[in-house]
Amino acid sequence: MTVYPTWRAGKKVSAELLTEQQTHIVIASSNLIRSNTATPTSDMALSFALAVDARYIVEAFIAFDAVSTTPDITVSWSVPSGTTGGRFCFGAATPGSTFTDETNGRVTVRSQSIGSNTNYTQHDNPQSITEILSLITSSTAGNVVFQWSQSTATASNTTRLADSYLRIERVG
Amino acid sequence: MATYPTFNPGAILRGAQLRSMQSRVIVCTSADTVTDLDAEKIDTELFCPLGANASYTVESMVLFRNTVDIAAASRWLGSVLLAGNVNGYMVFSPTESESDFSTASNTTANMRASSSFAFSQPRVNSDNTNTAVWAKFNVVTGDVPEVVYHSWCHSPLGITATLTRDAGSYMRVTRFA
Amino acid sequence: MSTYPAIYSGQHVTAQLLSDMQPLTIMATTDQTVTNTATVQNDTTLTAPVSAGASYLVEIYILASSSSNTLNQGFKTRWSIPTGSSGERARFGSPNIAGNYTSRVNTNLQAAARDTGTDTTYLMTGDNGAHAFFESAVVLIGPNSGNVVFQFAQATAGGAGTSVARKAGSFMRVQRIA
Repeated sequence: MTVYPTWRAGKKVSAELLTEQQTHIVIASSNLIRSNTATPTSDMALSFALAVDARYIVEAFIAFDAVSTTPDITVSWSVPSGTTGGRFCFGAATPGSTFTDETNGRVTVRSQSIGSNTNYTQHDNPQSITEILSLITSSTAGNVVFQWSQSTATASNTTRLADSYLRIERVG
Repeated sequence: MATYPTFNPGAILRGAQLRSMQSRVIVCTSADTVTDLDAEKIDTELFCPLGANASYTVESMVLFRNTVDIAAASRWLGSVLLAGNVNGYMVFSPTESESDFSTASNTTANMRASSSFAFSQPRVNSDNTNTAVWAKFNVVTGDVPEVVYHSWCHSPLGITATLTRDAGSYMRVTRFA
Repeated sequence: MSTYPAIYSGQHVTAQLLSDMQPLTIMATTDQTVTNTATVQNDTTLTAPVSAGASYLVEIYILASSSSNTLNQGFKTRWSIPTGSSGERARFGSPNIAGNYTSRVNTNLQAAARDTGTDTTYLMTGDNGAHAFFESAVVLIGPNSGNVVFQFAQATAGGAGTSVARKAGSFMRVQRIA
């Protein structure tokens, strides 16, 4: 059971520690469009610097849109070397599954390695995924970064929509 | 990255700043119903006052149940601003399709997102057990304080039915700017 | 509307006050396995103390696996809360009825809620990896302090050598709101 920071009587209350205690929100202020790519790359609008030897809960609520139902989406994460933890993937079923549209489709409810790909069906209307990370960083500093691409490289655009966001809490 | 408030070294720490750090959780302590309603009603408990010139994330878990085969209409609005200032709506809930809904424990899903409105119509159990609607969105307020609130009814309108929004539904509001 | 603790201008800022503002997060760093039983067992990690008369928003994210490829030997969950307490537990995961489950990446959804003390079952098979579930509730604690404890078992006991596991990386977040 952890909290961060740990407060004890007599400990100096600093701006830095209060900031560490806060819930951090990283929100994409604009759309990001990709096409002709099936290799996830970093979406730097959705990244956050992590401390070494720390624990975090990162909750990602991400919306996508597409011109076509062909490309679908592939999602992954980049984290500092040596980081371990769990990854929860909630969203549309893998491409090729029973799926009508964004209001009516089978789902993915899986664990996945943090740096591995998860594929979701994406309709040609705005549609969301939710991914949660429980992270334990090691001695290497760095960022947690959301990564994505199309699942099938297609000339038509796939868009990660503005107002997608990360909610980050340091918990240890 | 955003947090609210901003703490600066050497500044006087105020109670208002600590209060601003706290996520606010609004929990429904009572169930509420709509019967044969032809218009959405303002939720009696799921609402939250917001400050002016501020940005918030809202995560909600709304529980619905009824005794006939209908859907819920679930919408989030601001009291002052147009609905468009409820941004980045994302929902994870049972489907809006009647034919692909068996029960809330066995259903295709609604994974709708919208940049312009915060509205969905998930199917609801007709066996009087709860359907869960997990929705997230952001609100950016203007120059005057605002109230963000849940607005709901049964869908379709104008039918003979009673829909319950159950106790235990909640919203968590976090200011980040 | 609830925040806890209440903070007033001029109030002395104490370590206790700042601590009370913080949600507690319990992160499982090792797996826990329950073998050949449909009777829910306490999770030895995902447990949090709660105070009488208080209210908490409890969120539990579970990664779970089964050793069996028999669908109905899936994963059963329940929450144990102090006597006299209550909560309606929302849940998101694989369904509890066969026929609309192919795999963890191609399945119907369970998006429902019931009281914390009633069992929930998620279908799963052992041959397609760990599943993800999310459960949350606002728990109103009655006159008795105690613990909120995540509990789990097989949905149906599968016989000797069969088991389910709550995987490392699962976590529980408890925020006092009143």
